[in-house]
Amino acid sequence: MILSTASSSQANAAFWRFLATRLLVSLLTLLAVSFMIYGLIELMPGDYAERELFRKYSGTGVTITQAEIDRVRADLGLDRPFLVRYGEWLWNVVTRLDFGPAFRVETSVNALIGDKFFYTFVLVVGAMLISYIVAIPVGIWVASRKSGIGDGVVTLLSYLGLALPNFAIALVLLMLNAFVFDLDVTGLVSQEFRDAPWSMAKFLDFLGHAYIPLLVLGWSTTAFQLQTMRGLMKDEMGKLYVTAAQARGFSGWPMLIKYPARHAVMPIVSTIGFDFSRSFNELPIVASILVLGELGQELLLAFLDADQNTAAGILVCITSVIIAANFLSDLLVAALDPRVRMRGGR
Amino acid sequence: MATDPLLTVSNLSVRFHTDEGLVTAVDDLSFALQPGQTLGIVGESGSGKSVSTKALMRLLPDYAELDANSHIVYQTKKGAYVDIARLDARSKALKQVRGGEIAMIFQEPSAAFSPLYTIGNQMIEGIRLHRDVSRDQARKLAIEMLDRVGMTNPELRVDQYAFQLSGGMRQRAMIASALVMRPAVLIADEPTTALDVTIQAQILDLLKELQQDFGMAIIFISHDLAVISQIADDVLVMYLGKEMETGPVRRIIRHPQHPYTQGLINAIPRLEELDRPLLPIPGDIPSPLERPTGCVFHTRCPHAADHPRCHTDVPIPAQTQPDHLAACHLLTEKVLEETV
Repeated sequence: MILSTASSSQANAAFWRFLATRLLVSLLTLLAVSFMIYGLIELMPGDYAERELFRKYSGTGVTITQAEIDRVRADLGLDRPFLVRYGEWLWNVVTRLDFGPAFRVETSVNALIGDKFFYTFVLVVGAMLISYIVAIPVGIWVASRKSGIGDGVVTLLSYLGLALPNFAIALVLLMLNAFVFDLDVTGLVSQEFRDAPWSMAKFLDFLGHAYIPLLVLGWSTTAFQLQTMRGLMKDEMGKLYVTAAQARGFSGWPMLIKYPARHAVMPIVSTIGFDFSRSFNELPIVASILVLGELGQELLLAFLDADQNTAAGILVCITSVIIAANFLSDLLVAALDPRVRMRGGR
Repeated sequence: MATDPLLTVSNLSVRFHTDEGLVTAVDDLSFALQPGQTLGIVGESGSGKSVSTKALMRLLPDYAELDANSHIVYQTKKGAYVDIARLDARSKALKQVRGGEIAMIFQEPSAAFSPLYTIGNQMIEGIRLHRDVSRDQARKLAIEMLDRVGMTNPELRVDQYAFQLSGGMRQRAMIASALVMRPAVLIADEPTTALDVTIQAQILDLLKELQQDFGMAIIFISHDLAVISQIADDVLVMYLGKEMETGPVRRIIRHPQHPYTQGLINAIPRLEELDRPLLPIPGDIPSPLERPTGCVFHTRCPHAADHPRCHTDVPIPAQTQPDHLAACHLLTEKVLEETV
């Protein structure tokens, strides 16, 4: 079939329609996620007011009265119907990005998760960036040469990364730092900076702590991406369009990057969203070993305490990042592959 | 020979390193190509015709090994002689040979163009590697060449992707992308095999016409002797990586000397002889891992049973006419008998 350029600009319109639909679906997903966690906690026996009083008076011999429970409920506004509370919370989120008060600690959800969201975001994005920056060029390099020592080293390192569980790597690095270098590397910032406002010194201190979780999170992802990149690259290098480019006298790195690498990187780019959610899932295990205050842990605590605002706030933040990553991935694939632009999405 | 050959290939041997061991893909092949000549290379799949032409441009895969005695002597457009087999893989000279001196077109243009770049982009890349022109000039040259190969609306086509074109148009674009670099030799690797018969004829006519205009030599690979007979001046018949017979295409079609060529010709269906039963060559091509001793064709040759030499000795191409060679013990025996 012969298409004209007129129809290819129509095809680009089809792609923008696809993106607009994607955006709408993403917003609906966020809505559904927040409603589900709010509702799920609502369905759990008991609410936050009971938990707070229980914690306050357990072991003191004081008998908790229904009146007291009702008073706490009224204080926190928990006596109103579920939909009203959810509606109010949602309204504040949408209009002011205000996730409401956190029940468990006497502060707002924004204050509670602000820093932690930042740490988590930096760790996950950092680990992903490291993995792409390492895996893609090294994958191209390893695939473009005959097997040798470099190839062997890369393979060994990546199989180690794939085979060792993250918590084991975290423990080894922790031990190494504590016993060999005599450093305290738990947490994400040193004690003196913990409650200090952000400054250059605090940021540098953060980086000094962050490299371990980044290494732990990044290693397995890098190993996985590298093996993928190498395999795809080897496949693409055997394709006829590469021979044809070489037959035109095009060679070396410019040829590798223009042709086989651009084809090979496509499956990696199209799974950015998936890789982000995997990183978010792996983070809590690493975080609990390295005693990092991050969102995963906070989410679990909020859930156990029936703290609806905090739980929904954290989940909406994490989901937003994953959705944004998916969106980015859609855009990148479209930028790389004209067929996607013309077809209007994958 | 009247003129200096453009390309002289001697003792070309290519081996593949495979998991099962070393496999001979091309064995001691020698031929010459004159300026403006069209040489057809014919053979069944696995005969080494594609591998031997890829070797001419050093486009063999990593696992292939070019024998140290192979020579590919080529006379460049500037008149210098280079042995392509000896060029460094990263040398400028080799980059110049690829595309600038010898260009290649392929059986599947849909796979030979990357779907991620427009046809124009890939053509301009080739032009600018070999001709000192600006991007705009290169684009003009590309459009001119697309027009020259008979593409309608070339200004539009230059910005299209290969997947937006029909099979015939794609092959025209492929030809344009090769010729726009002004090569002296065009290697056409089964360029019409994937096309409809009517389109096939158009492409063959186009190639002949362009050859006249640009004065280039063509090496045309096909498994189909009928196609070769339409375009080639001379033909080289290959079997299991070895030369079986070489000569002017008309003589070989009318008076094939080698039993393998005779078999190939008998296997061509003819419209005027619909009642004649087709005569396929018995048996299959042996696996390259089990190369027959002696004459590689002896396992399928109707005459080999009566001639013990065929099983043990490798026949050497011998002249049956001044420009006609065949590698067969039967013929050398006959020539010997005649000369005695």
